[in-house]
Amino acid sequence: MVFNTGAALLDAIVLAVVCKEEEGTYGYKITQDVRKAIEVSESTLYPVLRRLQKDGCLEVYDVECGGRNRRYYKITAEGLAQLNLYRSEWVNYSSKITLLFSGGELA
Amino acid sequence: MSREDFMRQLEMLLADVPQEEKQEALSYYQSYFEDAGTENEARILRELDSPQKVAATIKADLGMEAGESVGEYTEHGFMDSRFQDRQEIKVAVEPSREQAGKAQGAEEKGKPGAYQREGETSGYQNQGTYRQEEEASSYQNQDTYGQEEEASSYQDQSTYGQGGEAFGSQEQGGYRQGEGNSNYQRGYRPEGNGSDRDASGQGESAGYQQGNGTGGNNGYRSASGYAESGGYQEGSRSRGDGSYWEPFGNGGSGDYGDPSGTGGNTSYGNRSRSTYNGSQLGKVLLLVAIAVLTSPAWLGLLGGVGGLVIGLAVTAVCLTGAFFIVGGVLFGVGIGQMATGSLAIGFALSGVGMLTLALAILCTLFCVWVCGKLFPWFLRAVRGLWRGFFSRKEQRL
Repeated sequence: MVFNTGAALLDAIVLAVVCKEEEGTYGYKITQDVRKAIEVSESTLYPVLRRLQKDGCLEVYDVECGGRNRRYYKITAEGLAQLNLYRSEWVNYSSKITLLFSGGELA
Repeated sequence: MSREDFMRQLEMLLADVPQEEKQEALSYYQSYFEDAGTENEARILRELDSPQKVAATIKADLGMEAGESVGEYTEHGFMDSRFQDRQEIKVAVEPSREQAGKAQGAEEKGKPGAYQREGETSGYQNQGTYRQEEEASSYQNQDTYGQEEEASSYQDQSTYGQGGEAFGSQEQGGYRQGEGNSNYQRGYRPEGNGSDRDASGQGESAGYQQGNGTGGNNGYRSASGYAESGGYQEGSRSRGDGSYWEPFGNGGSGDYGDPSGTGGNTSYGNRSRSTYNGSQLGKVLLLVAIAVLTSPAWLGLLGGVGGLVIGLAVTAVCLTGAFFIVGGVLFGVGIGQMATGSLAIGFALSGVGMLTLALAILCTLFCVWVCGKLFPWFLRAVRGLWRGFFSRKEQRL
């Protein structure tokens, strides 16, 4: 992939991935899901998840799983609002770029 | 490195991170490994690169890294320009590139100097601060040596060889009819004239156009796949893009492709690691040498300070003891005087004795306080200095 993914887009992608899981999801699965869309290394998402957690966009809880605790991430109302903002921004941004690439005239 | 080693080193490197953050990060990676399962352990360890890098990522996000703009997020993760120091690949890869050139017997128009420049002059290259891009492009350079036309920013990043190879060997040079970017074609035609196979092997413009135009995102995908895992072969295999390799190998262009692809990369991998370790070792040796050379100065200083501290401690203890003895004796004599001689002298003497005893008790308390508070504080300070020194050192590495 030739285009870099900035911090905001990465946040948006992670929020979108976590948002899809009603019951919440965990670090390894989030990484694998994000990787279906973009290439990220294994170490990319921890700081992102931690930051989103601190910003109140994600909440965490531990679930007992196979004799150990697994940390689950779940989107908060605040996170959902943020995601919706990202979504509309993305539609705006990507449609303009698409139009430009396809040779259309921007208004 | 095993997972345990990784976690241990990470914990050590996060020593100066607030306890809560450290625990969070450690438990995240702990459960990350557990969730991934042992079968993925080696891959994850490879992709995480090094505990130093993971620690730097965590610290950077906490704003603990000194200096500004030490790195940035990219889709390959947090990239730190300081890790680019490991780019000695340029040197490591160079010979294999030339070998590849010779093996193929094609006298390409690109002079060695010409392809050295390629990767660096690309605009895209310069934007990206992470070394994976460099790798990707240097890998590409191996395969496409001589095509100095590649001033295009796309070219350098996206095609890097095997996209072109896979496509090219299937289509047998069909790329030349591709929706041509004349720029690229000019670049390849001379190569293509050699033989069809060569042309297809190097059909980088084809790889690029295909990748870009149609759904062949594969070209890109594997480019970053390769880059990310740091080893081309693993990268493509783990991403299931192994199909590139088949045509690549079978297509007969393996004679130059294979050596340059695998050989070049492994040599890079090993080389860079050894330079990494080498510089660490070098620094340690340098420190030891400096320590030995300056020993007359710091040994004397250390001895002086040590002597002073010991002297002060002995003085304090002796003084305390003396106060106890003098106080006890004065008090005893005072009591004796009260019983036998003058009552006034007796009172005065026992009063002074009690005061001296009180002074002795105060001294004792002071000594105990020094031992209980000052020493641990001193030790903590020394440990803090030590840790600060070493974590700085690791960051620099």
